[in-house]
Amino acid sequence: MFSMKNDLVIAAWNAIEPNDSQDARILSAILSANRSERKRKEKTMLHTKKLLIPAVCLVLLAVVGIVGIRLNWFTASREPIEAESEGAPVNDTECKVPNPILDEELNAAFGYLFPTEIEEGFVLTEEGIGLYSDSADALHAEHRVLKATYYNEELDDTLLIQVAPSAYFGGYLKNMPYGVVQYGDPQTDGARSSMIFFENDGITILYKFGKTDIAALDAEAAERFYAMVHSARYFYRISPAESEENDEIDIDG
Amino acid sequence: MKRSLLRTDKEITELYARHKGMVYRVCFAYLKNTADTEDAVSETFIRLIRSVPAFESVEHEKAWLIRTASNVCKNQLKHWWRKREDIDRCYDLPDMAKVETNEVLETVLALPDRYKAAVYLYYYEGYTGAEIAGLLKQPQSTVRNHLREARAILKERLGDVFDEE
Repeated sequence: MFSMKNDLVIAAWNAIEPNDSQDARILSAILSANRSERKRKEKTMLHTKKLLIPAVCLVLLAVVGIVGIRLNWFTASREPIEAESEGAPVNDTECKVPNPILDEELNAAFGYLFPTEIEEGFVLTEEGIGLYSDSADALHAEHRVLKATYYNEELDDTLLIQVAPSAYFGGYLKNMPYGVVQYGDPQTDGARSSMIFFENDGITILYKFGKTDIAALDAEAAERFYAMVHSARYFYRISPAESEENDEIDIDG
Repeated sequence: MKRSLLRTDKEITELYARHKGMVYRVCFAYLKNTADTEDAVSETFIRLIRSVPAFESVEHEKAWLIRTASNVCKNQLKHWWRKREDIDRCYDLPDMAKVETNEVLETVLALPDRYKAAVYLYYYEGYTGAEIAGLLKQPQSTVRNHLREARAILKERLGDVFDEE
């Protein structure tokens, strides 16, 4: 880099400065611009703050909506129940409501037939208790079926309890009298299901074992089973079984 | 030295007082008349108010102002027909120095625009070539070339006034 005497240049430049009036004019213009900018930014900040609360509310609503949809707070999918032909198991829909028996309305619809005391040894399975419906309108009892699936380790068998309006079971009950043990088709492994229906005021309850013969329960097991059945708040008294396959069972009481 | 989003009038007044001379001289070097220089100085500080840069030091502040003032002046030169005032009106110096200073300043101000900022920053503000390159956002080689060419012109026009040391 080169160097040179710069005193003259510095001296020359030193003279270049705004005079007092210029100074005042320039400063006035700058301060005026600063005040305008401050007002503008303060307005923007206030506007942002005003929008913040509604924005936060919207975000909260969105979060609640997303969580609610995931947890099925608002809707539940439903598919029509298909009536099964005679002798075949009834298909259920995919609608499931957790622990519906506690719901007052559902309890009023189905609860009086559902056992209030579950026999020891019967454990609710993963399917648990579910409410299934063939209609998007779940408020009408006639379109709903309550299902509870238990497992008994001693019997190594499942017990299905279904409660629904009698019309739900349709032709299935046509040849199946209430209070009489009925049987499903034998499976390939030789097992066959056994079931028994009870009814009251247009509501039917079904007890169905996967492979245990209800009629073949020993006295103690049968007593426990029917005690469970009878624990329902309002149990329809049936007449003694007429089928030769069943022992006479006194279920009064 | 970080600034808040909104500067008070006091902060702006202090900032202006710190750098008004330098900004004025940079702008005058380009524009060569007081009216345009006044506008350019105002515009430079108004840009600072609106862009709200966060300065880390006074030197950082100064560098920003020099660069912005240069850009403001270049924009004005592109768009305005400027009247050129007689340089004698701009200052008042003792007679003996007046002639030489007139000649020197006149010669400096007569340099091509692209040399002026570098010459001012190098000789008056005392920045090195590398620092000037950083301030003006130019390659160092460009700054070196500008200073060398400016020196050659000044030496040619001023003769023995400039001695190499």
